[in-house]
Amino acid sequence: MNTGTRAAELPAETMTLEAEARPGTDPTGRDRSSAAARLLPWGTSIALLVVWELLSRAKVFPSEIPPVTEIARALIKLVPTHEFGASLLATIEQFVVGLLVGGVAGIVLGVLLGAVPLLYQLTHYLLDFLRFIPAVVYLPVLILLLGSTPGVGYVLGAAGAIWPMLFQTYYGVTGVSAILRDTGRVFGLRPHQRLLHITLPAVSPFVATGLRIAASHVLVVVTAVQIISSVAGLGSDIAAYASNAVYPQMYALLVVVGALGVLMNFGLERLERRQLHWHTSYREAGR
Amino acid sequence: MLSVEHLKKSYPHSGGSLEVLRDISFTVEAGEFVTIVGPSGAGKTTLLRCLAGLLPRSGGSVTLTTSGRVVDSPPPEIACVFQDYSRSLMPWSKVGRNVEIPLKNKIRERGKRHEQVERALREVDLDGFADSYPWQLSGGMQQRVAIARALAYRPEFLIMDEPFASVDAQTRADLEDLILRVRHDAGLTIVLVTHDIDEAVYLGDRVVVMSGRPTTVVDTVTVDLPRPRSQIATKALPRFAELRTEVLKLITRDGAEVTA
Ligand SMILES: Nc1ncnc2c1ncn2[C@@H]1O[C@H](COP(=O)(O)OP(=O)(O)OP(=O)(O)O)[C@@H](O)[C@H]1O
Ligand SMILES: [Mg+2]
Repeated sequence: MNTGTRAAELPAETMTLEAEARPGTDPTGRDRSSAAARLLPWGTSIALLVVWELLSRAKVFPSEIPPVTEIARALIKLVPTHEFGASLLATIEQFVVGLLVGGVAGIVLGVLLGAVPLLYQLTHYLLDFLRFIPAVVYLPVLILLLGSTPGVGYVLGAAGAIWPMLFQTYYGVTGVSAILRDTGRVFGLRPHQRLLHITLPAVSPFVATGLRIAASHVLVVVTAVQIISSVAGLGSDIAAYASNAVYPQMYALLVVVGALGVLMNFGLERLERRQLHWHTSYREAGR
Repeated sequence: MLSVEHLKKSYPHSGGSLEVLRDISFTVEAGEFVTIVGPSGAGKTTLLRCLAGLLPRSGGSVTLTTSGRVVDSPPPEIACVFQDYSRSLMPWSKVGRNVEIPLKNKIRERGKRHEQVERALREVDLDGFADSYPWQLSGGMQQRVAIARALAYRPEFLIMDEPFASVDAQTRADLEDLILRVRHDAGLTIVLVTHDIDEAVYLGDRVVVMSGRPTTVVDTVTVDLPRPRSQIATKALPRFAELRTEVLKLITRDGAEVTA
């Protein structure tokens, strides 16, 4: 997966793509075609939903796939309920705690490993091994230790966040330009000043990429944990509806999880655009 | 005064080692402008990083004779302008911050620090650009920011690594004259490396000529041209052409080619 790519250009690449994909920045300035380009994805999405609705109504789809309108109705009924609110909150809480704990741990370890080559040499076989173990694998042990509590979500969420953050930060720290490091030393900056004014800003594009990868991992892990075990959250509700064959409600919750993912990505993108306005990929687009 | 004695530097290289500097000795008197010419790849950047205490030597010594201190780590008396200005400035900080951050430990008081930043930017004709980002400026302006940063630091020694190599000819001439002017005003001691013979003769009091790798000092040429120097008048002097030829001969005798 993405976490495995060693790419100093990764942030630049992902960000450039987005900056260029922004409608309205088309240098030819053809307004009509860019408006069409903006509307087209909505059109195809709606068309697909209509096709789904028709196929489902015509009983081409099995009964496990209800019509879109029924899902929408279920969603509208579900959202105001107390149970839904509690589950949504539980999922968000596990997501946030997991991302924070794992993210901060990943950054700290990444900076340490990048700054102390010996540390990296001593541990990198172990790290390369651990990073490819999917976080959910630890679920049975954690259920034994903690029971079906939110704690399981926190820990495994953090386990999902830590690797992309650690490796992105590490690549960032080792990639700080030699000239900038020389500059910091020649002008007598102390180690903490160099960290604050040179290393951390230079690493921040890498951290941003790590954060986005980590966030999507954490959402997947947290939801999966809830589906498999009975840790409270949207995932366990999805599992419950599915096993009782209440499909419209189940899909309604899938829609909510998807929306959470979109919102999270949108928020992180906004944050990135603001914090990294100086970065090559945002210079023209973001200012 | 800066004294370099039998400086040697080798890099580890695929199992063995790559000998870059074989035997470099020269001195720089207080207030002097010493230029060092050498062919590309001779180890000019390597030499300057050793002088600035950024790179451990393989042998010999670099001494600041005023304080009697051996340069093993970057001393507070030295500031540098690096070869690649676009990568030596911090793109996330505005021009003013770029100049100010190095002063943090030298000048505790914020107001005084800002004053010094402003003065340095004025010296390189960049007043009014403190709130721009470096990447919003042209190459020549960015190099002036790097120069302002070094000047604001108020060093005794200014060490410059081909500071004008990547700008156009007109900007280059302007920057050369800028350096001569601020050097005069601030009473700086300057060591500047270049692979351009004209530049070395035009700027320097003395030109240290280096051979190709493994590098030694071929000879030192004293530049007895009058100051203040001028791009047109100085370069039109017969003596300028003589010195130029002398340096060129020293370099070609060594068999290395250099852009003249
Ligand atoms: N950190 C390093 N590790 C190994 N070899 C190096 C290192 N830095 C420089 N070298 C080698 O030392 C030699 C001299 O490099 P240096 O950059 O000092 O030359 P230079 O005279 O500044 O060249 P240029 O005119 O291109 O700037 C080159 O062969 C280079 O490959
Ligand atoms: Mg060089």
